[in-house]
Order: sequence, then structure tokens, then C-alpha cells
Amino acid sequence: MRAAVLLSALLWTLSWAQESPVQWLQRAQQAEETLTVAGARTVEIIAGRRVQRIEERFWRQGIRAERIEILAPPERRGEVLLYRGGRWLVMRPNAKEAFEMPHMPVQGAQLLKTAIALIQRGVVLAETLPDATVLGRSCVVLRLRLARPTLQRDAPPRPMFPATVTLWLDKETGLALKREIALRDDAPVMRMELTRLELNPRLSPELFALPPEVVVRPLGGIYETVEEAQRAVSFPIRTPSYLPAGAKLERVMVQPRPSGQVVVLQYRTPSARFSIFQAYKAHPKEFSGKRRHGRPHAQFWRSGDYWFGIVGSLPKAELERIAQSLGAPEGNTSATGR
Amino acid sequence: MRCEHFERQMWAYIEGQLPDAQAFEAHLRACPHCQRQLAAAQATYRTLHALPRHRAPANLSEQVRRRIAAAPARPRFDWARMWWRVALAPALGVLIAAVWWGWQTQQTAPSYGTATDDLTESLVELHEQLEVADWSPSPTPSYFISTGYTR
Repeated sequence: MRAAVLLSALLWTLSWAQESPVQWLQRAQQAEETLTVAGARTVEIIAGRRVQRIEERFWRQGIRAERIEILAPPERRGEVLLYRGGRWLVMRPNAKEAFEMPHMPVQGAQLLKTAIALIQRGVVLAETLPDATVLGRSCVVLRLRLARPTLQRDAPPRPMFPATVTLWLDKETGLALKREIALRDDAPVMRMELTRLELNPRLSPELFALPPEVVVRPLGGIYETVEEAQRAVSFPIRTPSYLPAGAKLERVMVQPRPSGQVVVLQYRTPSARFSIFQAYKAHPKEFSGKRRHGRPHAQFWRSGDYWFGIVGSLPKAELERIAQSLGAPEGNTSATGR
Repeated sequence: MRCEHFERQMWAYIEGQLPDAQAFEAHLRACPHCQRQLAAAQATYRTLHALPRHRAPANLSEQVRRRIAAAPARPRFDWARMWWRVALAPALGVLIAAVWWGWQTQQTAPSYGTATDDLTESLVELHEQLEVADWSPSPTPSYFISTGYTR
């Protein structure tokens, strides 16, 4: 009997020591969804010529509630993002209004969930790198990469997944303490690293509550439908008459620019994202057509008083078809990332 | 970080005196213009440091004082020295023009931090930022990009 217990303990220890990447990811997903944590983190987005660095404090109760306070950039310091009851609200310090953000899910666990499914389908490959330390905590380091080459002209649809994802998972809790994501082989890149971590802190319910007398309004500039956005735009918004199979409008943004309002229709297909830009009676500089390696396909053209652009990681032929459904002449200036 | 901030911190970085170089290095990785600027500055720094150093003689100040005391009250007009000055003037002019041109070229180089002059490029960047921000565990990047990073 004692031998059997010892043997099963040994086997359990061995299986623990040899935990597979999928098992680590499942632990990480569970940690994201259930643990109560607080801390601070930095997020860097490197895309094109811009580097954006955000520093924030956070308090999270699994996927139930989260509060984020911005520390940097200085001009946004003090702004609060609050997730509760399935919606994100944003508030400025001491303001009497909060704004509801459309379409902003809790994203921490989403990448892990997608990664597990794609590894199990053999589409994403996972390897374990040498252990590392983050915040003085021992971490297992996983690198995930797409098994198929990314973004080729007329390539078959690839799953919506970055080219490489590196995760530093805390051995004790499974929490992702650091993430580095390269969307394509050389750019753009997202880096997130925890700079402080507190496990199971006592969190007051007030942290996740709106202060009294704060009125909630929709956040201007981002909309879920074209109809909603149309109320904020001074010209009729045009939509493509052709869309690839499974394409879904994700959000509509209205951005004020020196040349006038620019409307951004952001679509998502099962394998890619693309954005359609439009402006009315604007005269931006002509598109240079120069693209760097690793950049998405892009095409810009004029149609009457409208100026359009389409950018995305769809196959080029597909992108051209959408553009033509919005009045782009055939053989227009376009360029590809690779 | 913008290119202007980068250039202001560049010499402190080269001399190892920048206390927090994270933002600086992040900008460096993403901006080819500033990569060239830094490479040029580092080359200049290395060249300056490679120049031979000469120690001033111990009695230099005494010698200078003695010469001043020995100099005539009203110096004679020295035609030979004047010739040198006349001959050096065009060369000096060319040098000043070259330095000015170099400085102007740097000032008019695209500012990778603002990028407001090229709408098409900034829209490609906007698409990329939104694309990668969606993989962030925090919704803050998506929120900032959608509402304008600074306001």
C-alpha cells in the first residue's frame, strides 16, 4: 500500500515537472479567470513609427471585475477604466460623467483560450524556453508561433493569431507576468510586463463601483453600428457592397483630423482584420505606395468627392475586390507588406 | 516619445548618464530616423575620444602673462597674418554652410513621433495599432488609440 502511494506521488511529481505547454496555458487561463490580484504593469505598443507606452495600476477579481488607473502617459494620468457587469466604463478624475466603451471585452484570458484551441488543432506550435525570473518569481517561458507562414499574396486564410507570442508564466500561480506579441514577423509588437504583483489582496467593493451621482453616457467617437456613427458625421458614410465570407463589422470610429473627419470601419473575418477609411472633400497627400516588409496590404483612392483607404492583412485580391465595391478603379495604387 | 525628446536625451544616453533609458530605447527600436541620428552621434563621440590628448605645460599661465607684458602697447599691422585670414575666410564660409545644411537636413527630416503630415501612413499605423492592441491583456491601448492617444 505504502509503495503504491509513493509510486503515485512520484508519477504525479514527474507529470507536474513535465507539464506540457497546453497544460501551462490552461493553468494560465484559469488563473486569469479566477484569481484576485492587484499590481502595476507597463504596456508598450510598437506599430509603424510610433511607440506607445502605458503604465497603469490594476485591481482584478478574475473575469468578474477589474479597475485600472492610468499612471502614464502624464496627460492621461488618473483616468479610470472600470469593468463590471460585462461592460467597460471610463472616467476622468473628479468628473461627474462616466463613458461606456462599446466592444471592449476582458482580453487577458482570450489569447490563452485561442492559443490552446489552435495548438490542439496543430495550427500553432508551442515550445518551452529556459526558465526565467520576473518580479523575483520563477517563470516557465513559452513561445507560440503559427505553424503556417503568414500573410502571402492570395494565401489561404490563416487563423487570427499573432506570428509569435512569448509568455512568462508564474510557476506558482500560472499567471502571465509578461507577454510579448509580434503580429507579423518583425512588427507590430505588444509588450506587457507586471512591475508589481499582490496575490489575493482584500479589495473593497467600492473599488469597482461608480461614485455616486456619476452619469453614464456613450463614449463618443466609437460606435457599434454605421447608423450610430452617422449621427456624428457630416457626410453620408459609404459601406462596401462586397465583403469576404464571414466578415463582420467590429466597430466604427470617427476621428477628427486636420483635413476633416475620417470614418474608420473596422471589420473582422475569421482569419484577418481590415479597416476601411473614408473622408469627404479632403485632400490628403497622395499615397506613396512605399511599404516596409511585414506591413499590411494597403490601397488608397478617390471616388468623386470621397477619399478612401483600405488596410488589412487579407489576401491582396480580396482587398482589391472590397475596394472596387467602393468605387476604386482597377489597377489603382496599392502596395503590399510582403 | 517623440524624435525631439529623443534627440534631447541622446548625448546623455551615449555618455551612460540617462537614468531611465526604457522609453528612449523603445523609441530607438521603432524609429529608423533616430537610429541613424544615434549612430552618427556615437561615431562623433568615438572620434572625439580617439583624438590624442596633450597636457598643457605647467608654467603656461606664467608664459602667457609674460608675453602679454612684453607685447608692444599698440600692435603693428601685420600683413602676413592678414593674408592668412583672407585666405581662410572662404574655407570657413564653406564649413559654416556645410554645418548649416546638415542642421537644416536634420530639422526637416520626418518627425516619426508626430506623423501628422502623412495621413495615409498614419492610417496604416492606426490599423496596425488597433490590430496589436486587441491582443493586449489591458483594454487601455484600444481605448487610447480609439480616442486619440493624447487629448
